[in-house]
Amino acid sequence: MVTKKITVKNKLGLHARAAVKLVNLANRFESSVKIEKDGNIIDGKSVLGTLTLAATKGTSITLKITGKDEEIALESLEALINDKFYEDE
Amino acid sequence: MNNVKLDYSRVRGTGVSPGIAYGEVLLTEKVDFSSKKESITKNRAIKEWERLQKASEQTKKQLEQIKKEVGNMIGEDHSFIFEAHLMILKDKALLLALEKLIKHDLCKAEWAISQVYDRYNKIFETITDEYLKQRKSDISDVLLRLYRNLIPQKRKKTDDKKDKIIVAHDLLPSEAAFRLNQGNVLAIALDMGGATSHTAILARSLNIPAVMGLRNITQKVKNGDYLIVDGSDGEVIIDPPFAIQREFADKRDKYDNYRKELQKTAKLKAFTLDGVEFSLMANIELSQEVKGAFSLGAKGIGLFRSEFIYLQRTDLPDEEDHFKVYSRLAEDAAPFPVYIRTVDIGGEKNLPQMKIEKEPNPALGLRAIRLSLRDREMFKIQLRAILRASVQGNIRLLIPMITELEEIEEVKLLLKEVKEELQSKNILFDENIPLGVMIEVPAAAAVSDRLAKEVDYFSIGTNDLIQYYLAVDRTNELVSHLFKPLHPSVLRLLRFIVKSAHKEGIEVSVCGEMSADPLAALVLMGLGVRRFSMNPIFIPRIKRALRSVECQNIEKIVRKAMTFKTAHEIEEYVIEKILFKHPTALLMQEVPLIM
Repeated sequence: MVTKKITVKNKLGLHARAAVKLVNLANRFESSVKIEKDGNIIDGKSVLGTLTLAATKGTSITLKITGKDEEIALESLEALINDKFYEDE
Repeated sequence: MNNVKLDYSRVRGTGVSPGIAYGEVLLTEKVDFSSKKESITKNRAIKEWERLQKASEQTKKQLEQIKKEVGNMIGEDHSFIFEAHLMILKDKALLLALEKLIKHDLCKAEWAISQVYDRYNKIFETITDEYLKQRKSDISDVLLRLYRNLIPQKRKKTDDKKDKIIVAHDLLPSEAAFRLNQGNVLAIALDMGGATSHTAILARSLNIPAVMGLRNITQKVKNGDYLIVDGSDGEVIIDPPFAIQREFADKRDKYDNYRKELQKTAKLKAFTLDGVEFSLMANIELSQEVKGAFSLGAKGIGLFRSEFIYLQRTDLPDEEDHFKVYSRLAEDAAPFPVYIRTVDIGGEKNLPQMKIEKEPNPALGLRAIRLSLRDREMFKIQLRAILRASVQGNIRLLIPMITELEEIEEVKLLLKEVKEELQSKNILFDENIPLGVMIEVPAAAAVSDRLAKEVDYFSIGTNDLIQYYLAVDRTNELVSHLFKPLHPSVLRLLRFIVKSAHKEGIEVSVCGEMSADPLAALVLMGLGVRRFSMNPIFIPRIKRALRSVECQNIEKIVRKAMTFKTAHEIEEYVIEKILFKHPTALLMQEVPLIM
């Protein structure tokens, strides 16, 4: 398992559009993707779960990825979050 | 004053689409689940679960249909939210929760949905962030649709046909697109949103007044209330007394007159006083902006920023995705030209789906044509789509960030390959599609005499060109005062580019912000530029400025101005001389438009 703590940087946080991007990307990997915030753990491959996380700008979330392609999955998801889901702000 | 009705209130927000409307409120539908818990047998529970699955299948079909319609009607980017809705619908967590409620708690499908709805509502109620809190509406939308589909074909048409003012917490672009296109929306007033949202862009392009960012307008009004929505000043007035209504009716007349003036300006011919023709075009990012731009007098799309096709999605667009956008552009603009600039991605516009490395100095890094020439397969997809769409209108190919001649040679080779491929498959395209380059790197400007022999036209991107040439980042406030479009060095460079183009008999246009500034546009005209492309809202004012002068005189003034030493001297001289001969040329009319 690989884990990494990441701060959500885009202005709107994990809103629907961002959540869809995240979930779509997560689903491209074989590994299981869990996201933890304040003790709540949700399935990163579920858009509902991701929306209920309510991760706003500045929130720290922890990615926990387990599986064959965990390294590349972590790298890609981290890039997406750090790139603010390619939103302008 | 004292005897008028005082129980009206004014709410301030941001005016995002100008104009004034008065009418009845239509609050957007709220989710209303009315079902009681009924215990059912196990056998019945299995039937209920089947009923729910059928409803889910039906919902899926509807969402896919809407997604397709919205995509065709106003563009793929607006249909994106339905992808989210489809994902929510097939979400495992949601299905599991519903299945458990029905099969274990033995209840009807309606009850199960209402329970799940409540559960998510509770979760979202604990969220303090206003924007995210609002996201529950996506889940609500899906659940409501599902709920309705439990009883097949019994959907009642509630909306009457009367024109109304839409009041909502937020309007998803897709939803907005859907509703605004029905033609019975007088205005929009939203708690959320801002001027750059797609809903705002859409409202502007359809001339529907809109005020956003009103915070809690949905709590202040109810269905049947009357409102004034003032999209020009960003204000909403609830239950206005007669005196206020009259005041706003006057304002509306004024605005309508202004619109008429604009339309008059849009119809005027683009000639200077001494009969020199010029051409004004629009810079746009979305295919649905064409009509709005043309209504302001644009005669063509001088710059379509194709990277927006990529920025709107999570995966890489395929050839069909590109093709759809370009076809629509070509058709909407025909017979006028559309200059499609191939992707300008890279640097700060990074996309994870492309796996571009982070760079220390993105403005000088792997971007635009540099990236396209590295990822040739992706570039060829775009070229193929542009070529295929070229038979549907007047399309031109524009290559950004050219620095050296070798790059244009490589582009030509790739273009040839793609053309041959299409020919071998008997796919039609415009064999003589004009190929042009952006002149935005000083090196390209310096060899523009050579480049002019290789391409069909130049488009000068003054923003980047000046930034690179003067080594000034104009967004950096410590040095932004050094960003001077009228710097003598810049004018010399521009003159050289224009002369290079004219010598080879190729067309040259300017698509940077200089085009949108009356003084700078006049100077460009003095340097020999006749084609200008800009944010469409500036077209009327540039048209007025250019129409009010004699081109010959401007050329003379600019020639003389080139002998001065500083940007300041040049500016002073040009303004003085122009005003002396053409006192109205630099008059910026009052623009009640925002943005």
